[in-house]
Amino acid sequence: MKSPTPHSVAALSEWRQEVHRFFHAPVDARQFAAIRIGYSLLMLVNVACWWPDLDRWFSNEGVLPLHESRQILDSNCLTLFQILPTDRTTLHIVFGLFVTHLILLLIGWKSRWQAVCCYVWLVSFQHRNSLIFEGEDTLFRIIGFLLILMPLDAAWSVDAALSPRPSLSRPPVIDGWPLRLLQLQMTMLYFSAAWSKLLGEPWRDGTALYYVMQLDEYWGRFPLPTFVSQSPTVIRLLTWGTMGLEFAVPVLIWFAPTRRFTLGLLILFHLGCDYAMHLFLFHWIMLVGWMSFIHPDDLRWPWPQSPQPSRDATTPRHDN
Amino acid sequence: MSTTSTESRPAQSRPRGIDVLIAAVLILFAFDTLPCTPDSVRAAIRPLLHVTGLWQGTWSLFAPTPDSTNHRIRADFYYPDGSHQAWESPDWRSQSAWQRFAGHRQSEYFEKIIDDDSSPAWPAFAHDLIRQVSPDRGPERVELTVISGDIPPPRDAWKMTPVPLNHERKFFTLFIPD
Repeated sequence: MKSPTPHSVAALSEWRQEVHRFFHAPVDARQFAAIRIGYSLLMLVNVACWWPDLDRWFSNEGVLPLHESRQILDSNCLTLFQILPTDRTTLHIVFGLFVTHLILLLIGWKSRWQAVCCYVWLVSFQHRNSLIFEGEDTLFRIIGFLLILMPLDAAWSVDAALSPRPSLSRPPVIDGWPLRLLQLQMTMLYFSAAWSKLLGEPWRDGTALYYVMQLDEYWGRFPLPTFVSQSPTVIRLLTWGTMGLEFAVPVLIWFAPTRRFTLGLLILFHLGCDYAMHLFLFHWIMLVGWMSFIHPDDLRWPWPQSPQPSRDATTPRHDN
Repeated sequence: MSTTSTESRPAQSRPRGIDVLIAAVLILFAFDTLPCTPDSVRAAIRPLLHVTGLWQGTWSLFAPTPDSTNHRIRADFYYPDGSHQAWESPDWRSQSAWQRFAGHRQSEYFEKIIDDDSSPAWPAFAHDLIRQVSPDRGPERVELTVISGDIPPPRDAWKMTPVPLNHERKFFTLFIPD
């Protein structure tokens, strides 16, 4: 067998260093805090909507007793409700604990512990009654897991305010690898959605949104101009535009010249869909995920002039 | 994760352990989300994803083919005295945006309960309807029917008209002993 040449060894070493720099580039701690706060707020709205029908959805006197729920879902989908008492008092106590953990996560007190508890409760509730949950709840679950890996207390939190560390003139920067995971999760999500659409003839021939616009369960949240649903050309453009966006975003979001423009498109796209469709909190949790690509400098006006980064756009620019 | 404060763990071991975690998470997420993942690989990783709660599957948002059927559920209650009462699931178009938002879980439930995979839940669904609709008067039989209408393919300048719900399929009957 040929031994590696010095050139290939050097190239491999350089590649490994690039990968390490990509995953471990320092990140402004406020980015993690923003995601923590956005996620907590949306989860509180989410579970508040469970409350009026809590017994109906999750108790043995409701629409899906525990025994039957275990027959619907894969047996490996575990839930704490398999070991907890099945009475309604316990259910209400558990719900109260879940809400308490969400509030403490929101304000940033012992955030990692709160994130772990919230994730365990969320998985338990979702596995208890899978008939009332769908795609957005999957994303709530995935982001909830990634929050466990994030340093959530370093900024905009009770723990940061109570920290004995000396206050800094600017927020701390932290190893950004958990943020990279969230960024890559969002990228894979969009790519998966685009690929799935490409496999369907209605998306290729431009008729997909013609069907979606007539689904009573999803369409017609707020009034739209009539030309949106009456013009075959507009419907085709919206159909192909949606698919094109989902293919383009996973690429364009990673490059400095196109990142902000892509983020702007994403915000318009998700807010537009939320206006037109009944998808509960789906577009809002998607925006929380895309927040992982927003740098604090993006929120300053005018945008700081800085040298083009040699790496991807999400590498932070350090003030010197 | 490193911060600007001092770390106690050796710097060499911490990044390697984290790098292994990063790689594991990304590989699992990639295999789970990509449509091209072979079924054998999905079957191999599915137990781990289910146990950890990290399952997601492909993100087939109205894809590859959007649903092209509107449906509602009707429950018929038959009483020992020969009388009959009917209940229908809400007409979504007649609800306000706030009702739709607050009642999102209900619409999701009515979407999934008609699937054959949900058959273990049908008796409890029927009993729940009895509690809601006929709490003081016990029926002897409850029949659950899905009434649906297919969205026709686009033609005639793609005019959209209300889809009539003209197909019926009875999917479950609950008999209640005396």
